[in-house]
Formats: sequence, C-alpha cells, structure tokens
Amino acid sequence: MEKQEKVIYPIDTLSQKRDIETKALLSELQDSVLTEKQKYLALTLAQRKGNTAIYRPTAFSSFSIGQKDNYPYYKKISFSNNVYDIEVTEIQNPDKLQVGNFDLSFMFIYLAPLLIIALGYNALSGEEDNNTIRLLKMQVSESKIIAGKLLFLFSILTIAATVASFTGFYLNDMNIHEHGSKLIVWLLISYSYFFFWIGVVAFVISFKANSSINALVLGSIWITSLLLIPSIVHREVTSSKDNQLVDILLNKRGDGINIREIPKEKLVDTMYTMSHPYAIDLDSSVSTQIIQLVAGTEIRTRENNSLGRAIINKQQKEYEKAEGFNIINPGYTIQNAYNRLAETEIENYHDYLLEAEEYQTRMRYLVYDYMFRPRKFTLADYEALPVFTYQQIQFTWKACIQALSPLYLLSLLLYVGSGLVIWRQVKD
Amino acid sequence: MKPFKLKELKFVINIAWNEILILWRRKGFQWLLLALMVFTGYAIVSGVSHYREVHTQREALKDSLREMFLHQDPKSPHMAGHYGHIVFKPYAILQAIDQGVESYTGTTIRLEAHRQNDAVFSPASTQSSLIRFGEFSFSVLLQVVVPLLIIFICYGSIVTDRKNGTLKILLSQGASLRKLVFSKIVAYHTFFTAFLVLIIALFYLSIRIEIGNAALPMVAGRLLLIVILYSMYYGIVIALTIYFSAVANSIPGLLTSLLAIWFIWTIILPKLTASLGAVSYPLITKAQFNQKLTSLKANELNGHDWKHEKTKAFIDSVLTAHHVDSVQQLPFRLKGLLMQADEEVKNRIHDKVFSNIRDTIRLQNNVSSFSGIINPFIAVKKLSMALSFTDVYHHFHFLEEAESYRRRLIKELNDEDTHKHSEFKDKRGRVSADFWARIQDFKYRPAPLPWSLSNSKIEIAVLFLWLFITFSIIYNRTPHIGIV
Repeated sequence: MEKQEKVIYPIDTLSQKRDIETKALLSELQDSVLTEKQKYLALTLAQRKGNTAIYRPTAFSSFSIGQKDNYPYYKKISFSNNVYDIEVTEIQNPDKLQVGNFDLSFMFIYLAPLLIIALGYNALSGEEDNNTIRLLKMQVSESKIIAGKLLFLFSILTIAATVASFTGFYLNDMNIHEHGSKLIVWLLISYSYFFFWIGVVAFVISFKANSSINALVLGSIWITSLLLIPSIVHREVTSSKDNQLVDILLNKRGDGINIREIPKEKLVDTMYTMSHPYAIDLDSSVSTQIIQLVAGTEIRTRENNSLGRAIINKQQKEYEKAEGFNIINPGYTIQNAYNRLAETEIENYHDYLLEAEEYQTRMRYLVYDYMFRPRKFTLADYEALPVFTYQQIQFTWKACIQALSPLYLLSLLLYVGSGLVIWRQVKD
Repeated sequence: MKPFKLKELKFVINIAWNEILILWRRKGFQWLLLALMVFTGYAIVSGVSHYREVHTQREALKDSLREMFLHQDPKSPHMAGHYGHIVFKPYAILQAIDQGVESYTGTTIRLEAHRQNDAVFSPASTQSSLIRFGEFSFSVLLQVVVPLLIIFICYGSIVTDRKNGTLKILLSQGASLRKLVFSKIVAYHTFFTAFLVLIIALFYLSIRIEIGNAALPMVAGRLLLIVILYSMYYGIVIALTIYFSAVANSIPGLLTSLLAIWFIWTIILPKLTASLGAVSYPLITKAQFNQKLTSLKANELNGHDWKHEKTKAFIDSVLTAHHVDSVQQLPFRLKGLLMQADEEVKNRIHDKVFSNIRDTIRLQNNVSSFSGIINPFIAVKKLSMALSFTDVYHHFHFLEEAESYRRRLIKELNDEDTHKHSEFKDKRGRVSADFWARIQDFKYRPAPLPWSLSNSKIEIAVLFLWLFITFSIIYNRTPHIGIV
C-alpha cells in the first residue's frame, strides 16, 4: 500500500499545481467580455478542477490487498471520456502480480488451516499411538477429549490472530475510534474461518482413523478447498471480454459515433428528447451552437460510458456467479469478506467507477448550466465546482454475517456430522 | 562412487517392481489416483476449450481489425499513422499447460505514430480476487498437487518398515539400506514419470485434434522438455521424501515436516522472494516514467513543432544537403521525412527508458530465480512458464515484435508521405485502399525454444545442482543411518 501512496502522491501534487495555474488564468480572464469563445474556454478550465479521480487504498487495504494492485489507482476524468476505460496507470512486474501478496489475510487463509491440521490431526489417534488413550478414557469420554483439544486449539489461534491483527493495526498507525469497529469485523471473519477448520478436523478425526490417514485426508481437503476449488470455480465463471474491451479501444480511436456526421438539427432535437439526470434550462436565449456542442458532448460521453458499463455488468454477473459457489468454496468466501472489509474487492472498484461517472456527469451538467446562461465563468464559479471525494462502501458486521453464511452452514454441517459419527460409534 | 553390478541392479529392479505392485494394490492410492485422473481430464478438457474460446475470439477480432485497416476512410499517410492499427497477442495452446503471467499482462496494443502504447486489457484487471487463488491448469496439478501426492505416498516407505520391524528383516537378507532407498526411488520415480508421460500424451492428442498438425512441431519439443523438467522435479521430491523416511523415527513428525517443506516451497517462498525482489529493485512509477519521457523528448527534434531549435536545424541540414533555399524547392515532401526523423528520435528515447524498466524487472525476478538454490519449485515454475511461452520474457518478446511492426508500419506511412506524387495518392494527398493492401498484417512469431531457455539459465543450473546434491547426500549419508 506504501507503493500505491507513492504513486498517488505525484498525481495529487500535479492536480494541486494545475489548480493553482487555472486560478491564475481565471483571474486574468475576470475583466474579459463574455463571448462564445470564453464559454468554450470554460469547458476546458472546468475540466482542470477535477480531472483525476483517485482510488485510494484504505487503512485496512494492507491487511488484505485483494485486487487493489490489479486495478488502476486513479482515473483521468474529462467531460467526454469513458471513466470505465482500462488504462495502465502503473508499471508492474507481472511475476509479482502472479504470485500474489504476502498479507495478513493470506497468512490466516492458508497458514492457519495448516496449523489447525498439523496440531489437530492426531488429537485422538496420537493418544492411541502413545497408548495413553485408555488412561484418558477412564476419566473423560472420547468426544470430550476431541472437544477439549480442539477448543484449546481454537483458543490458541484466536489469541494469535488477535495479537497479529493488533500488531498490524499498530504498525499501520490506525486509530481505534475510527477503525475499531472494522477491526472487530476483521476478527469476526478470522474466528469464523478458524471455527470452520476446527470443524473440518473434528469431522475427520471423529472417524477414528489412524494418524496417517487423518493427515492424508485433511491435507487433501486443504489443497482441494484452497487450491483446486477456487481455481476451478474461477475457470467456470469467467469468460473472455476481449470483444467488449476492443469496442472501448475502437471508440477511443474514433471508430464509434462521429458527432460531425449527425445533422445539426438532429443534435438539437436530441438535447430536448434525451433524459437528463440534472435539470437544464434550454430557453430561447441559448444559442443553437452551444446546444449542438453540449448535445455532441453528451452523446459521445454516454456512448463511451455505456461501453464501459457493459463490461462491468459482465464482471458483476461473473462475480455473483462465483458467489453462488461459496458453499463449496470456503477459502474464497473468507478472502472475499476480508477484501470487502479492506475495500479491495471488485465490487469496491465498481462502486468507485460508478461514483466517478456520477461525478463526471455532475461536473458536466454544472458547466452546461453555466453555458446555457448569459454569465461568465469566474474564479468563484471554478472554486465552487465540486472535487471528487469517494466514500467507500461500508462492510458492516451484518453484511459480514450475510457474506459468511455459506461458511456457517458448512461449519454447522461439519459439527453436526462429527457429532452424529461419534454418537453412532458410542451407540454401536 | 562404485558402479552398480548386474546383481545389484537386479535387486533394485526386484524391490522397485515389488514396491510398484504394493502401491498399485493400496486402496487409498487407487482413490488418490482416480481423483488425480479426474482433475487431469478436467485440466485437458477445460484448458483446450478455454484455448478454443479465446483463440477463436482473438482471431475473429484480428480479422475484423485487419478489415477495418484495409477499408479505412481515405486519409493522408500522417493521419493514418495517428489512426494506427490494433494488434492482439495470440493465445498459445501451451497456455493450457501453464497460464504463467498471461493473466497479468496486456493482450492488446494500439499501434500509432509518435507513441508506444502499453499493452492493455490484462484479464486479471477485469476479475475479482478469485483469480488470486490461481488459475486451474496442468501446472497446478503438476507443480502443486502431484508433489503433495508424492509426499503422501512415499513418506511411509521406510519409516513404516522400521516401526513394524520389517526393515531389519529386509536388510538381514543381504541388502543395504542404500540399495533399498535407491530401489524405492526408482520404483516411485518410474511410476510418476509414466503417469507424467501418459497425461502429456493425452494432452498432445487433444491438441492434435484441436489444432491439427500445423503447430505440432513447435510444441512437441517443448512438451518433451516439460516431461523431462517435471520428471527431474519429481525425482528430487521422491528422493528427499524417501531419504527423510529413512532418517525419521516418528511417522506423524515426518509427515508434518514434509508438509511444512512443501508449503514453504510452494506457497510461502515464491511470494516472499517476489516481494523481496520488488523491495530490492523498485520500479519507477508511471508518473516518473512519463516525466522522464517528456523531459527527454523536450530537448529533441519535434515533428509537430517546426519552430523547435532541433527541428529547425534538421530542416536546414536537409535544405543544405539538397542545395535549395526553401522547403517548396525540395523534390519531396519534407513533412514525411521530418516525421520519420521524429519517430526515430522518439524510438531511441523510448528504447532507453523502457529497457531500464525491463532490466529492473529482470533484476527483481533474478532474486526469486536465485532463491531456487533453497527452493527447486521456483526453478520448475519458471522453466514451466518459459516452455509454455507464458513467462514475462515472452511477453516482452511479444511487445518487441509488436513495436517492430509499429515502426515498420509508420516508416512505410512516412515514406509514402514523403513522396510528392504517388500512384497510391489522390489529388488531396490521401492514400487509396491499394496502399493498405500492400502493408502486411502483424503476424506474431513466437520465440524459438533456444531463446526461451536462454532466459532460464539460472533455473536450469539450479535444478541440476539440486539433483546432484540430493543424490550425493543420499548416496553418501544412507549407509550411516541407523536401522532400528
């Protein structure tokens, strides 16, 4: 995340520099007469105000980097560009992207289950190997031995995870008042995952096989649930988006709608017939030339963004399809919950893009409003223009429980299953 | 080392054959093998169908873009340079074996005058975090699952005999522990290599059905090397597992240790070394890259700015060379010549700045390459990508080929722009469709095998070193291992 801040810093600096230059330019224009040319100039100057929409990492992003390093860190916003355009905004080593990041979520998702397996696979069989099972059984039942050992394991892991999370919290200079509730959700996700894996171990060892068989079965479950299932689900839900992406590139190159080919009268008509997200006042005093300019900008922008939105709609469908497999995909269920909390998942990126488009539209209509009225674009107007501030989606504990529900169901099945196996053994 | 005598060889073969029979009869093994075959079948079917989907789509796009290029509106060669062309990275059939970094690199480049655009549309940038769990392909099975299977199957091969007391009986018949260890290595290695040959042969058949014989000469050698590569890796994993099994006293302790080694090799170290490489040799940011390009270009000839000092100097030199006083007196159009000069200057600047980035990436990757000394998995992973055309260097190869094409295309356009009169130009200087038909389409020629391997010298050396050290240790240390 430090690297992302390093990338964003000069972008911020450049924006500030441009802002100062624009204000100086506008100060010089204060005394000029109101001409059509000056109105066109307003379009250019207003764009300088918010031409970069930054997608900042959040405090929790370093806990779970997710896809944050794969998405652009900022977007150039103009009145007519496609905010969904996939640009390369950073130089990355593909090898590094491919192996992934070594963050806290990775440690919990991959390492914690292995620890649970390594420490729990012989909870019962180990006592048999050491010939201590008879001694223990004289004092407590087998189910209590399993429950006691696994409860102890769960406690150790939750303490370790809590200490690790608080250390990360401290190292990232995070404020307990600001981020405390998120930390609780983070711990809730972690504990839920440990609870699930303890359930897996309980279920496997309840069959009372020897240590080697237990290790083999648990190892197979680990590799299946963390390597094979997610990669197979990924293969099944994703499809090539080359066609749609190339449409964006073609449109950018100028192969899309050519505004100059649309008859001027039709352009004016379009302005009256299309629905506008913000009120506009097209009275008779507005020149036809201005209406044509605005209509052209509006048609081009809408076309550009519609192509981009088509891709994110496709991505959204794939994302939802992948979520449909969460009942058999515990690793991704947890990674997704961590990422949503850290705001590094695709849905966060989509939300950012939608906000960027909304901002672009608002800016455009503010300038249209100025262009339709007989007044100058002043320094005060420029300063009154909004700047892009992105409010991330809040991942509340309720949303968290909802996201983790497939995992809870799976855990429940495992605990009930192991209970039934032990009950049958006692009965027999 | 003393060479094996015939009698000793017979012993090794007998033990190995016996071990394979025992292995074959184990129910647990049969289940694992069945599961592996199911996943293998899925890897072949899904890999080939994914290839079909992406390849068909890219070929169709390539054809339609070529059509657009051939039938573009009449325009001046200079404007045609700005319009440019769009090219795609072909989807190699061997990506079904190893996806490598393909999902993290751009697949499409817009080629135009004055600019070297980035390759855009990396598949990972349009996907959720599910992709970070890895992509299912043969490489997942061959690099991750099979070694784990080897551990599960081989870890008990000697320690169980020791625990049961059968090891003592076996060795009392005259065999040495060294021979026993080598026999078991031969048995398991033969089995896994046979499995490897079988699945690669199945894959070979499936691609033969899919693409016919045309591309087979290019992939056959690579497939053979893939078999050798994984056979070497499995040899190391099997030898170490059996050696540790001979050394160990506790079965659960041995299994936990072997799983820990597998986890560190396969999951932890690749991430750690990649992060270490990135920290040791940081890449410049895109803003710095752009700033550097802009500042270097500012002091050079600019084809669009005739008032620039360097541009003026260039024009003067052209006029002097042709003994004329004005641009109009030149026997050709100066604009085309100037634009080509502008291109060449910018190409030099771009090459310089871009080669710095590639050098940094190479240095970053060398950190993980050298980590192969403690982790043979890294060497196998990188070699597998190199053999499948999917490592970062093959991506650079594609970028270089696309850039060479861009330079040839722009040069042709600038040359045409230089002509005052041309059979391809109308009165307004706009070129006709015949001119576009003369320009060959971009056809990416994948890198030859020696080139692919030349980027993986460290990995090849490391893998042989691992083989040598592993077998040397086993040969020298096994006689010193206690039997009871």
